[in-house]
Amino acid sequence: MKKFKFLVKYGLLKRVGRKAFLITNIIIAILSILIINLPSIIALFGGDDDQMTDLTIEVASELGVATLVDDLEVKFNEGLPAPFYLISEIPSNTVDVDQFWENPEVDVLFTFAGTPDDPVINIYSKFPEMNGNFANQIELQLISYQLGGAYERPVFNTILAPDYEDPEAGAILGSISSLLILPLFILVTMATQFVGVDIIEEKSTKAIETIIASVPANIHFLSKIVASIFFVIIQGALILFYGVLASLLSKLFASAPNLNLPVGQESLLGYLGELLPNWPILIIFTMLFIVVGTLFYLVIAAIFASMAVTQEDYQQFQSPLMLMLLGGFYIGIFAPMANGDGFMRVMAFVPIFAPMVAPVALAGGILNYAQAVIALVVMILFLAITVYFLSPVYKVAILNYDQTKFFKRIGDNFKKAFHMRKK
Amino acid sequence: MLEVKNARMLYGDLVAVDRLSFTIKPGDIFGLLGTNGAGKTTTFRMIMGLLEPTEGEVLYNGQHVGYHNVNEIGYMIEERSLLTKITVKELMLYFGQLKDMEPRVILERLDYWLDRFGITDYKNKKIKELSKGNQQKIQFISAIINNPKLLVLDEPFSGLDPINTEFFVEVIRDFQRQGAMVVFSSHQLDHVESFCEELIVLEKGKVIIEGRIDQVKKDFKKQNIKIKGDVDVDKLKAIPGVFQVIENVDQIIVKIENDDAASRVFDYVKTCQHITKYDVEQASLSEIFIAKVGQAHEKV
Repeated sequence: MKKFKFLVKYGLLKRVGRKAFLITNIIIAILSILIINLPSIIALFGGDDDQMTDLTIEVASELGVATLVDDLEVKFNEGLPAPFYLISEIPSNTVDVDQFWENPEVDVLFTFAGTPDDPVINIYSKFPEMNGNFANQIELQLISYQLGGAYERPVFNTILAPDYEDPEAGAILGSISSLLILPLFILVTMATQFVGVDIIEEKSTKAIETIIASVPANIHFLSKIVASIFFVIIQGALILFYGVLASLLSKLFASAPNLNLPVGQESLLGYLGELLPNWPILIIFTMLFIVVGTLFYLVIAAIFASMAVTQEDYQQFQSPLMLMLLGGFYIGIFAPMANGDGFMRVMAFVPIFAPMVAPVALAGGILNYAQAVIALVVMILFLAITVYFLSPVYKVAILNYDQTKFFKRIGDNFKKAFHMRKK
Repeated sequence: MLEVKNARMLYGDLVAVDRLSFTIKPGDIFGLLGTNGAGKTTTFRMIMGLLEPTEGEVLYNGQHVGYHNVNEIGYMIEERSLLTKITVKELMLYFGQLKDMEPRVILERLDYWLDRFGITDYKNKKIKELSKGNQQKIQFISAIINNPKLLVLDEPFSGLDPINTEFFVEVIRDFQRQGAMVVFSSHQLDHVESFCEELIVLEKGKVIIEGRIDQVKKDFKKQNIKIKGDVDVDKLKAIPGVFQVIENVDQIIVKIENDDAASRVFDYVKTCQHITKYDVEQASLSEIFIAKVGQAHEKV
């Protein structure tokens, strides 16, 4: 146990105690801050050229509140440096919805029916992403009319244009997949590279002979995996920290009045928060998939590295691993864009792709929680089977300097491991 | 005490080591010789517990060699086995702690050995910056940093100049005096002859010579007679029992089959003029090695 702890500590310090780690993290931190604040940065450099300057709203009310339109205009424009919402009243009997949809001069139409105590509001909006905000403002205004009585939540009906297509619907899953998969892919690739390079460095220099003479091969194997997992956790936590830092910075930018940033576009995280109201659970699942998935990839990387003899050799041996990783990456990135929900659902249960596909599928609603749990359990079982069958191969291969062809060497090592297990 | 008992190692159908037995007691220096592929490294790996014999066993102080007693063993492999991108100090701390040593003790001992080998300036240098000879010294230090009671050295003198070889021999002798067991292999048979009491020669996994060196030489009947003087080489060659006569610049070496031939050569030399040297010597280990390995090859 003492030697195992030492090896884990040594392996970890070898990664995080180096200048390369510091430089990489400075770059990641800067990139994270830039990416998360991209909307603000674009706005800062004049990216608001096509920004709306006002929003025209028509109100047709049967509530019998004379000041409703004026009150709403005040409420909607509260806190804004200049009036953005231009609200006007139209008679209820002149409302023509078809004409509204075709009229480029009017952006939103509210119709109020019922009484102030029991109102029914229809929101016809050409900007449905703002409907939540409209409803909140209207509700706040109506509460002020209900003082003294028991509060009744108004009934809101939001109506979309007949030909409306949500321009963000396709992009939502794409955004989620990019944001989830990219860091995951980078982390897993870094970790597998580290474990592979570490092992092959020790093997190609023959230092492995001295090391394995002092510690059992399985302890060496596990220590490499555990050190890399700790590295992934540390690096993952740091990336999360950069995200939080970037988010705080974006809030800082937003609160700086002289920057004059457009409302609601200051942070990509804020945008994602709106898209993924269940993000805490999603993060937990993603972390679990990352840990189990990385463990699996690390085991494979360690086995391949143990069978390689030289650095050049390892380049060849790691190709299948990179193909697996890239497979998961591309499925996770491109399947949502191609509306491949069924394909993604299936791939989320394939253990070699699940680490990258399942979190995206869960975020995109393609998998429900129960299915995500099943995918995770399948992955854990697959990992356990992999470790059970492959750890003897490591024991055999790590001191084997045979340089026969790729498949023959794999076959020979498996045969020897099988004989050893039988014995 | 190290006991190798009837150890046999098979790789599929290939017999890497065939029923090998020997014992090394504290203070013994034991040589394991053989051509490339004879089974030396496999034997060392069995001693280190890296390979489990297919049959037989290896016992260290009555116990199987395993990770519970490996901290008492020092192991130096034939090829350089150093992590070249780190410094000498980092390497020793790494290897030493794998032997459960405290960093403070490792550094104290490292300073001692670097000083003894005259390479104190290299403590903070990367291994790859060192010459091959100095890398060999570092590898040797890594094998002895834990003050082992059993020292397993696979080709320790490979690539060393005579002065550094002497350094190594001195250190090995020190360990011997402290009661350590030393088992080593070497292609430089003069070293084996000079400081090893007992040996085994392997050829294709089989033992072809074993025992104390003086006894091995004694059992090997062939001898060399070195002569200086006016002798007729053709007459020497004609003497029964003489199988080779080598004419060197300053002397003639007569290789004979047995003691009887020696007396016949002596009878002839007595009749010659200006004889200034007549030495009968036992065959060198190198000759015994070549003769025995040659025989083993012929049998195959």
